[in-house]
This record gives sequence, C-alpha cells and structure tokens, in this order.
Amino acid sequence: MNKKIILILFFIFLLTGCYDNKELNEIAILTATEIEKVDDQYVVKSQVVNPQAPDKTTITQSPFIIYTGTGKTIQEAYRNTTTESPKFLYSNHMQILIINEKIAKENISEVIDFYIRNPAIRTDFYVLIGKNENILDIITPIESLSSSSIKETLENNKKYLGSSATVTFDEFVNMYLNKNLEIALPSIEIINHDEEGEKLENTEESQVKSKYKLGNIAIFKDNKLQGYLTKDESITYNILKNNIQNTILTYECEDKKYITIEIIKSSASTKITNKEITIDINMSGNINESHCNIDIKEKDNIKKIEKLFENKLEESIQKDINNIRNNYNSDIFNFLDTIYKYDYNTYQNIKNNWYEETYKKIKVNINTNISIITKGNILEVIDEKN
Amino acid sequence: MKKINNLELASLIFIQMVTMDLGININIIKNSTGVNGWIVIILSFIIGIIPLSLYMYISNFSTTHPLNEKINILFKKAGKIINFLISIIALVIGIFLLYNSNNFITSQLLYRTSQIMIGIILLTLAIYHNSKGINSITKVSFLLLIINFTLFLLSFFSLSSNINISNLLPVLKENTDNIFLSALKLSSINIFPIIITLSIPKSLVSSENTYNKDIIKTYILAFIVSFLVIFTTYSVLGIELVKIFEYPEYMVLKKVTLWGFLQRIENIVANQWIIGNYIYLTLIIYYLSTNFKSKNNTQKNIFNIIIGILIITITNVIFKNNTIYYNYVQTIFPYITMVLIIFYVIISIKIYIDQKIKH
Amino acid sequence: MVNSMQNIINKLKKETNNQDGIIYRRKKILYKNIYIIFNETIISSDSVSDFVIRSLNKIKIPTYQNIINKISNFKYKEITNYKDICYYLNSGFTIILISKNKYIALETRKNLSRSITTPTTENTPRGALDAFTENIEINIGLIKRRIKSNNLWIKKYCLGKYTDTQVAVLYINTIAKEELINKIDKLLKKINIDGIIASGILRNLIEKENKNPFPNTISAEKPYTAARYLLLGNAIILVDNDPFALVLPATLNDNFISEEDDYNKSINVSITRIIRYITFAITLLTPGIYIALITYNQEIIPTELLISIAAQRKNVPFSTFAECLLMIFAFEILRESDLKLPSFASSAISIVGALILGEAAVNAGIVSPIMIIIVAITAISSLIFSEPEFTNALRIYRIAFMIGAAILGLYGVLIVFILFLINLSSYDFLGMPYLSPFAPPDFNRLKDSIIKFPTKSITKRNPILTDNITKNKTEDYYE
Repeated sequence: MNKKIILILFFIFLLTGCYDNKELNEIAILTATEIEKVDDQYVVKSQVVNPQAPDKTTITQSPFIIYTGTGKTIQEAYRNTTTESPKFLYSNHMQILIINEKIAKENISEVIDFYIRNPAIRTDFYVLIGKNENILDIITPIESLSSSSIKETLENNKKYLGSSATVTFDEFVNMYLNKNLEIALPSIEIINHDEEGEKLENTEESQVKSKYKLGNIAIFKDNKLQGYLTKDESITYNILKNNIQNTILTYECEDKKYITIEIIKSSASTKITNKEITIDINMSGNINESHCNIDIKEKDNIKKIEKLFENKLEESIQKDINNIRNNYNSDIFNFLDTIYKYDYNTYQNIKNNWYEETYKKIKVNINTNISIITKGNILEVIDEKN
Repeated sequence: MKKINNLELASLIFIQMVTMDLGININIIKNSTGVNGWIVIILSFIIGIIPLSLYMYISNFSTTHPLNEKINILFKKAGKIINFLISIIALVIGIFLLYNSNNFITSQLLYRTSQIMIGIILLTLAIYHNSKGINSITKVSFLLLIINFTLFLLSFFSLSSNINISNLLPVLKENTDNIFLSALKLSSINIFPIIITLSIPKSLVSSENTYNKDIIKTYILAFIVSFLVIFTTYSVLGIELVKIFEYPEYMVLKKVTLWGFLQRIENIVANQWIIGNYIYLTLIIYYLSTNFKSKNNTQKNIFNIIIGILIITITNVIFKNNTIYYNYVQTIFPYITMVLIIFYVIISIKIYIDQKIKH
Repeated sequence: MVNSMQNIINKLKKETNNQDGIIYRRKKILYKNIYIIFNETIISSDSVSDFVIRSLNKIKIPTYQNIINKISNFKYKEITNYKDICYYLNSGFTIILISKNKYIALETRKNLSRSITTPTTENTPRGALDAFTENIEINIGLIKRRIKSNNLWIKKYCLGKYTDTQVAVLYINTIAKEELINKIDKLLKKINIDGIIASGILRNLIEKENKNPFPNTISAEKPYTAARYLLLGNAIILVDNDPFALVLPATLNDNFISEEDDYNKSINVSITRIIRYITFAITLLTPGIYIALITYNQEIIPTELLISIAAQRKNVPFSTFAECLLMIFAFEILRESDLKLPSFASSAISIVGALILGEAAVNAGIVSPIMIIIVAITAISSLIFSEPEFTNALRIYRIAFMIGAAILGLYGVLIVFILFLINLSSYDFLGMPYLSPFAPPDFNRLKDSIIKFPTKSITKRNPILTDNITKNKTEDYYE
C-alpha cells in the first residue's frame, strides 16, 4: 500500500512538468545569424526556415525568412525579433554565424560571451567574417537555405581546395581565450548585391547574378581583425595547420608551362629545435595536368618533378610566412604555442616580448617531402603535333 | 535474504567511484592544476589504494553484519557517534549529488523546469526503489551500468578521432604545486565514500571467495574510466575551454557523432551521468535507512521519505545558486569526505587490536 | 439392504431434480437387485451396452467379487460413499450399486473432445504440429509421448467447488527442485473458488496478479513447449478443458525464444534474437522517444528532417502527445476488433484501418504522416510476440513512456525506464527473478538469451530451478 502511495505521488509530481515543452508548431528553426553593428547597436539578423509541405510543387513562398532585431546587447537584439516573428526562435540548429568585419575590428568578445554563456545554443556552428552586410538575404540555387549552402561550400572548400577554413565556434573561442593563439577565421562576401538577390527569381537564371563567395582567411592579432590573406597564403596556412584534406599545387616547369599536382595527403608538424622552428611537411599526390614534355615512365623524371615541387613549395611557404610576419605581425601559425608545449624553458624567456622581438626574427626551417604516387591515366605525353 | 551477485555489488562500487566525474572532479582540479589534470587522476587512484585495502580488511570482520552493526560491535557506545558522523557525511554527499544532478539537468536539458521538481522526482524514484529492497537496487544498478558502459564506450570511440594529445602539453611545467593536494581531494570524493557500500555485508554476496578480486577489478576499471573521461575532455577541448565551461565533460559529448549521421546526441549519451547520480543517491538513502532499525516496512518507508525531504530541503536552503555550489564543491566538499579516512583507519586498527587480544 | 441402495437413488434423484439424462436401471441377477446408474449425456452408449450390460448378463452369482472379476471394462474404481458416486457419475462413469457400501464405477466416458489439431497461436514453419486439446488425459499423453521417463511425475488435484476440474502438475522429479513443487502444492491447496474453467483463472489465483503486467507463466499450446520447459526444471500445470498448459515460472527472456530456434543454426538464431530484442525496444520506446525528440530535444533530429517534420506538422492542431495517443488508441481498436471478428470480416477491417486511419486522417490534417509511420512501426513490432499478455503489458509501459516523454522529454524517458527496470527486477515468481539471466547475471544461461551459443556449448541448466545442473555432455567429435 505504502509503495503505491509513493508511486502515485511520483506520477503526480510528473504531471506538474511540461515547462520546457515546445511543439514544432511553436518554434521557428533558426539556421543562421548575421551580426552587424550600426551606431553602437547590435543588429542581429536571424535566418529562419519557412517549412513547406513537400508535396506542394509550386513554391510560392521564400524558403526562409530573415528577422531583424536591434539592441544594445545581442540577447536584447534577438529578443526584439519577437516584434516580427510569430514563433519563438529555436537556435539549436544554427549552422552559421556571420560576424561583420566592423565588429571584428572593434571588439569581438561581446559576441563570444553571449554564445558561450547560453546553454540553449550549441557550440558547433561555423563562424565566418562577413565582408559586406546582408549576406544571408541572398536566395541561393541548389540548396534552398543559404545557411546550408554556405556550410556545404565551406566543407567542400576544405575537402578540395583549402583556401578557406572551417572554424567551429568552440575552436574560435579556444583561439580567443588562449593567450598563445591568434584567431584566424574564414570570410565571406557578396557579389552583385541588389534587390533581385533577395527574391526567388534570383535562382531562375543559370548565371546567378547575386551570389556569395567565400573569401580568404581573415587574421586577427590581439583579438582584433588585421586583414585578409591572399589565396596562396590561405593554402599555406591550412597546410601548416594540417587543415588540408585535398588541394592542388601548380608550378612552372618550363617557361609559361605548368604542372598541376593534386595533393591527396598532407601532414605538417611544427617543432622547435635549438630555438629555431622546424616545419616538416609530408605530402603525396597525383599529377593531374602537365603542359611540359616530361616522360614520366622514367624514374629520374618523377624524382625531378618531386624535387622541383619540393623546392618551389618550400620557397613559397617561406615567402608566405615572412610576408605574414612582416605585414601583420600575427602568430597565426601557433609558433608560440609550439614553443610553449615543447620547449617550456625557452617559452619562459621569450613570452614577454614575443611580438616585439622574437617573432619576426625567429628562424623557420622548412623541410618538404612530396611523393608522387600515381601519374594519372596516361604514361605518354600528349604532344603537340608538329 | 537472497544473495547478491558479485557483479551487482561491483557495479555499485563502480558507480560510486565514477559518478563524480560529472561536474565535480574537473571543477575541483581544473583551476589549480591546469593541464596536469590527467596526472592528478592517476595519482588520486594510487592514493585510493589505501582506503581500498582497508575496505577489504574491514569487510572481512564479522561478515554477516552491515557497517553500522560492525561499528557497534567494535566500539560499543562510542560506535553510535561514529555511525552518526558517517551518516552525516553520507547525507552531505547525497546533498551535493542531488544538487549536481539537478543543476546539470536544469542548466543543460530542461531550462525552464524548476530544480525542486526535478529533485523531487529523482528522490521519489530513489525512495520507491528502496522500498523494493537491496536486491532490486543492486540488480537495477547492474543493468543500468551496462547501459552506462555502452554509452561511455560509444562516446569514447566517437571522440577518439578528436583527441589532440598536444592539448595536454606541457607536462608538469605549470601549476605543479597543488597536484598532490588535488589528487587527495579527488581521491577523497571518488574513493573514500565506498565505505557506504559496506552496508551490504560480505556474507550476502554470492561468492565470497572472489569478493576481493572482483573489487580490485572494479577499482581498476573505474580508474580507467575516470582517467579516460578526464583525458578525453582535456585533450579534445583544450584547457581554456575546460576552464570556462560548467560541465566540460558534457560539452565534449556535444562532439559525439555516431556512424556519420547520429549527431548532437549529447543528451542521450549524457544519460550515463544521470544514471550514476541516481544509483548513488539510492545507495545513500539505503545506507541511511540501515541505521534505522525497524522490521516494519511502512516505518522504514516513512523514514526514507523523511530522509528525502531532509536532503531536498537542505539542498535548496544551502545552494541558492551555482556560484555558492561551486564554491562549496571546491572548498568544503572534499574536506568533508576526507574525514572518512579517519574512520577507515580507526575501524581497521580496532579490528586489528581486538584480534591481537583474542590470540 | 435394498433400502439403502434405494435411498441413494432417491437422494440422487432429488438432488438432480430428476434429470432426464440420468438413467437408473435395475437388473435382477438370481435373487439380487443391482442398480446401474449412468448419465446419458456423457457416457458412450456403446460401451455401456457392450461391456457393462453384456458382462452382467453373463454373471450367474451376483457377489461383489464375482462382478469385479467378470466385468470387461478396462478401468474401474471401487467406491464406498455417496460423494464418490456423484463425482464419478458426473465424470462419465457408470455406477453399479451391488450392495450397501459396495459400489463400483466403470469408465464408460463418451469422447467429447475434438481430435488433436494444429496449433493456432504458436505458429512455426517447422516443428511438430500437434497441439493440446481440451482433454487432460490426451494432453498428459502428448507430453508423455515426448518424455518417456519414469521420472515424469504427475500430481493431480481437483479444484473448484462446482466444476471439480482436474488439475495436473507435471515435473521431472530428478530435475525440478522439490522446493518449487512444494510451493506450487501449497498455492494450489489454498485455492477455494467456485470454479476453474480456464487456466488463466488458475494462474491469476496463484500469483500476485497485478504486480507485474508481463506474463510470468507461459501459456504453451504445443506439447513441444511443455516438454522443453520440463527438461529445464520448470513445472507444467495442465487444467482439464483448457488447451493451454501453464509453464511456471517463466522469465522475460522466455518470451523471446521460439520453437523455430531449435531447428536453426545458433549463429542465425542469434541474429533473430537480436532482432527480437531490438523489436522489443522499438515497440516499447518509439512513441516515447519520438515525443521527447519532437517536443523537447529537437536538436537530435537532423536539420533537413526537422524541417520536413515541421512542414508536415504545420497544420496539425493537436499536441504531439495527443496525436500519438489518438493513433495508438485507434490501433488498439483495430487490433481488438480484428481479434473478435470472424475471419471473413477482417479484410473489411484492414481496408477501413488503412484507408480511413491512414490516408484520410492525414489528408484531414488530424495527424501528421510521420506519426502514422511511428505508430505503424510500433504496432508491427508489438505483434511479433506470440503471447498476447506480453503485447498487452508492453502497451502499459509504452503509454508510461509517452507520459514521461511528454512531461520531461528524454529525462522523463530515462526516469520511466528506471521505473520499468525497478518493477521488473524486483519481481520474482516462485523464486525465479523475472529478469533472470540478465540480473542477477548468470553466464551459463546468458548463452541462450540475446545471443545463442552453439547447442553443444549450452551445458547447464538454471541453478535457481534445479540442483541437477548439467544437461548436455555431448563431446566434439571430428574424424
């Protein structure tokens, strides 16, 4: 009898619940956010899915809707969207956060604080720097949601080119918090932004007029945006950070003639030996295109190509590192972190005036090792018919 | 009385040693020892060998009696004070456990539900469980442990691709002063409280021969699991993120992806912690109710309900918000449980002396 | 002397309100009147006239001993009192009253039971096709055919004030523990009820009925199943006039074992068993987890799927919980009507079910298509268990899981799951823990649970049921 009373009590307590119940009809699925700043006020643009029944073939409504809110803090701006939105914003499915470069140049910590503090928001969305405003407004073909479109573009770029980077929010926070690391984020911009781009008609032509385009990597120093790398520097950055899955390298073999190698495996390790940074890069790849008359049936020729690429790559990486050191003076390659982890005593000596003295001067040795494993379908050279 | 399988008893001990992994272990060590957390946990389990061996020594004494009766036999009237003190410590552990799980659930799963309600539900279930007897507690703990372990393995193997060993470097360069103290603290909250399990006398266990062996195996397994939790959390998140999150062990589960398509399943995987908290809480109520000698089941249930009300009231009176709670977790809680080592030692010495006198 | 026999007849006539069916025939042999009494409705007139009357005709001297010797019926009982007369008369015996307190009962029963037919509830593609009938003697015979040992012991009871139902407890005395048989004996002797007309009534009387909604006995329709459990040390209860044998005690795991498993290789059986256990989890948890995911933990659903579900649910006015309850209720109605209706009407039911509940409800915007899928998979999964009680018990816990999920999301599902485990694990029937091979863990018997080991390696019986542990000593033999 007593047990039954306990059991009944148990179910009575259960019945008082339901505070957190949110039906799908009551929530708006937030997939992306863009944060801008206008006159000291945050402008938060939330991209919300407009779910449409799959069997309705004629799409008359936009696949997503942008709600805009302004406020002194980001939370306030979010909540102010309730003046426009009929449903509560549900942000666990957020895929993309675009931070406008104005904020990145001023103070990025306020953005971080909001997102890391809020348990209702996950930390696995991608963070990008927006070079212009209203990037999320664009309606894109193929993927109807521009957020999924951007996400997949980022991931594809990582897989096949490596000129951009995928940085999730917690990695971003880690870079922000760790005193030895500098922030590097991918960027995004809009080409031909006009009113048409926000309409469904934008997707009706094969040559889409308004579209977004991934920019190169944005680099920070002391948590403030310094500038953007070039495409080659971005690839170098990704090679050194081991972010690359697959990329291509193109170098001149003869005058105005080029060979392209597709890198399918790449690993870089940064070490500190005798107060010098040593970077070992191991790559393997395929010859994808060759304009030169090289007989690849011969072993020596393969070696020659490998040697050529190793030297050129070494050269270009060395050049890129020096450029970045001189132009931005930002340690995006985590040299200080490497020293901290592998040579703590040196770190103690240099940490106080790292940027003032050591960073620009420290010697960087680069060893590259490229092995060409397959040579494409053909062995012969496709020669010009003379 | 029905016998209890060795594995079932082992599962209780295992859950006691592993449950504090959520929210308490890392919070105690993360600020004082930095990236050396994984060394601290190894050390803590080495320290824990002492109470463990004393535990096995005590369990051999008068095997038919539970802990409180053993103490009464050994110390006569003074035994009541010792029993009272151990009960108070058990109550404190219960209070911290309840707040920990409440806080975890309300901060991560159900933001708008009130903490008291969640606590009442968990406690009611624990009291109901107690009314079914110790056999039911051990059986359920064994079954839940299997689920726990499966979830743990799934999450660990899924996370193993994200492990970045360099996040654990440099080894023993910074924050080295507090390592030993932190290890003692961890040991005191993870391992010392297993004395509560002595409330299940050895004679109740189905094969007494393998009792010690099974407990040692459990200890090693618990060590591996605790170590892997801290190791994975630190090496996946990095020390900076570990420091800012309230529940870094939970945050790391957000990265779990199974077979490519099951993503964002941290709320399913995190059930391993809630299950652990629940079983531990049930065990504490069981221990406290063994002090209440009554053959009448109704009276015993009423006693359990009073304990439950006590725990939930104290929890809500003491911990008004997270900050107070974390303050207490770091400053008071380990020292309270550390007192248990005194009882281990006193009881063992008394048993030793008594046996010397007899011969 | 004559008077006392006449008294008996008068008493009988009075008690039965001079029923037509009971025939009293007086026969005079030499100087002596003897009476033949039988109940026309339950005796076979052939055997009465062929054996009883004809044998009596041949008798010259009507002494008690002489009659017993000359009678050609193979089965007779010497009885002395009125109570026995009534019992045997009602059981289809022919009673001969010879002199005071010297009566005999001769077996002349009419065959009122149907012949042995194929099973209707336990269908397996292979295996023996005989099933129990309503006749307890035939049923015992069917088991005895399979277990020819002297050690198959049978204890008989007569239960029920009006029905006087024969109940037989069968066990193999060298395997089953005496303790178990004594417990059953005690339980059966305590029964004091007007009538037992089904084995289910008996089962409900000897157990704590509602402590565990899951069945803790197996209703075996096939002698095969009965024999299988007898060999494991269980006891079987047969009830006259009931074609189902009760196997007791049973555990949860027994519901996952089918006769078909004995015909297949253990590796294939293992996969089938895993599927059965997964189905068990599906049918128990799917609606609950669906509600939890849709109303609390939407993050677990992949974004594209969530958008699609949101689009489907856009016009549904009910809460997910109400929607789910509605559909489950509709399914239960379908199942119930399908059970009760004769087979010619069942196609109508399926058309109505599929069209109205499936298509039309979606088109009318009452439920979302995804909910139809959820309920359909739950329903299909629940039907793989042959024991209807099992399916019914699953229904209770399924709804408990739904309530838990509707109130606290995944946390609620966990809470109800723990409650489910507490209730199942704390239950034991006749000393057998309900979750037996799993908790308390018994590695020998785990070999025949979720995974089945090769038959040669399953060598032990359950120590809870028997002291005679070893059951299989087959050795590997390779050329």
